[in-house]
Amino acid sequence: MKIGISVKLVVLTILLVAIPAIVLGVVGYKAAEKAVYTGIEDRLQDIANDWRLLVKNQMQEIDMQEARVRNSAKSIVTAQAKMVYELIDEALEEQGGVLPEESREDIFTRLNRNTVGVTGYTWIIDYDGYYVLSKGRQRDEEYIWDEQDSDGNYVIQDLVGKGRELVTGEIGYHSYPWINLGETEPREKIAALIHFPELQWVVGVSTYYDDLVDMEYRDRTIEHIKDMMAQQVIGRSGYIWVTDSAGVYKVSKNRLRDEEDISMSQDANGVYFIQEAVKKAKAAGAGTDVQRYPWLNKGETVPRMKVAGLAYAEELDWIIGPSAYYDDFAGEGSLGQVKNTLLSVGLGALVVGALIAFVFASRIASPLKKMTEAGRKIADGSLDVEIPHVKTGDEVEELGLTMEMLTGALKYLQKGKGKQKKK
Amino acid sequence: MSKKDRCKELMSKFFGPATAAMVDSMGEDDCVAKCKAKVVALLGEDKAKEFDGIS
Repeated sequence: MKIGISVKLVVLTILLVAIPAIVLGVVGYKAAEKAVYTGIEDRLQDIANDWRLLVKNQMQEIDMQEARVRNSAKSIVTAQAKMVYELIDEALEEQGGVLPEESREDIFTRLNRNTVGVTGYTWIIDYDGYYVLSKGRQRDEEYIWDEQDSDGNYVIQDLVGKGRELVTGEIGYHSYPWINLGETEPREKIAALIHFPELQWVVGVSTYYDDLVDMEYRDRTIEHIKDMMAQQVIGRSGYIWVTDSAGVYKVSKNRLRDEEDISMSQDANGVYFIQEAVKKAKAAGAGTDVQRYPWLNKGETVPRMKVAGLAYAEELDWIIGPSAYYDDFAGEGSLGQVKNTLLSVGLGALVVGALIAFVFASRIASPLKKMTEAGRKIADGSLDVEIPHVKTGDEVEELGLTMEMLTGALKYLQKGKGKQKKK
Repeated sequence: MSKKDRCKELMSKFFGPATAAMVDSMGEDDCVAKCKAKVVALLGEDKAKEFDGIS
């Protein structure tokens, strides 16, 4: 089958337009995609950094708050200790440096009534480790020298030891963790200590910090931060995850897997990406980094690329990882617009190119067709054929002229022969 | 009548109007030689002698 020159020209021109259009479109889209993905990574890193700063600020605020409340608690036990000192000191002065039994009982009764905060109380322990005055007087005379706090320290020995170092009228302090009967978590206790060497007593006014001030503030604030993180949606389905350095979830999606160890989680390529993320976040120090990983969701057959911005909040040992799928951003927003624009421009260029190709091919092919037709007639012996006159200024025009010259010459020669025959 | 006009006339007689129009792109001085060369090539020396009278 013969394919006409006009068809060949149209196909060639379309190819010449289509190939660069497709190549430029693909290159343009890839460049736009890279720019958008970089933008996504920057955005995720910014989010991670914002949360890191928020955590840092909140922890500083909590530290200051706790310092204030500790001072406040200390002031309260100090004031109580001064009162206790004055009470015993006055009695000693009145009795000439000794405390008769009656006077002691009176003091013990008054001190026993005196509560500090909700559960605090005043106690007296002698140098040998016996309770002189206990809470509610229930353990008076009991030997408690070897009692330990929840850290395993011999707390009575510490209290008596510190107390005995104090000079008369001086107030000392000791903090220790303590678990009451029926409680599971230790609570921190503070004791203001005064010393009566003449009685061989160390007197303490002790209470739990959280009896006097709100020590749950830290935990509540951290929980609030976690809730806020869990509520943040990134892109279409992204969220913020947080682990500690050991890879234990501190904030999971919807907080459903908090405290679960995910350090051995692998991405679709088998990479322990949480371990990598922990390393990267800690290596970034005050900066940020990203973790890219392919992820296969349940019910999906092909993994999708995911990215997490990384920042390390040292105060809580948190690796903060706001994460999202790249393609969450591909179908909408700027990348989607770029895709549509490139497709429109590419298709437009193809259509316009095809039209232009058709016009040019027609202009070139039309005189060629006519000349071919004329050439056939000349070959059949008909010299009166009209050679098409084209003013293209190129080889086609020259071809027309040449054909006319040859035809003209042939006609002229034929005329000459005819005249010679007539003669 | 100019040399170019005379050349056009002869070229039209020998070949046709389109070929005669070619003379327009030639110079007044060289048109005779150029046209004569084409006639020599296609029709022979005898026919080309008609250009000798152009001055």
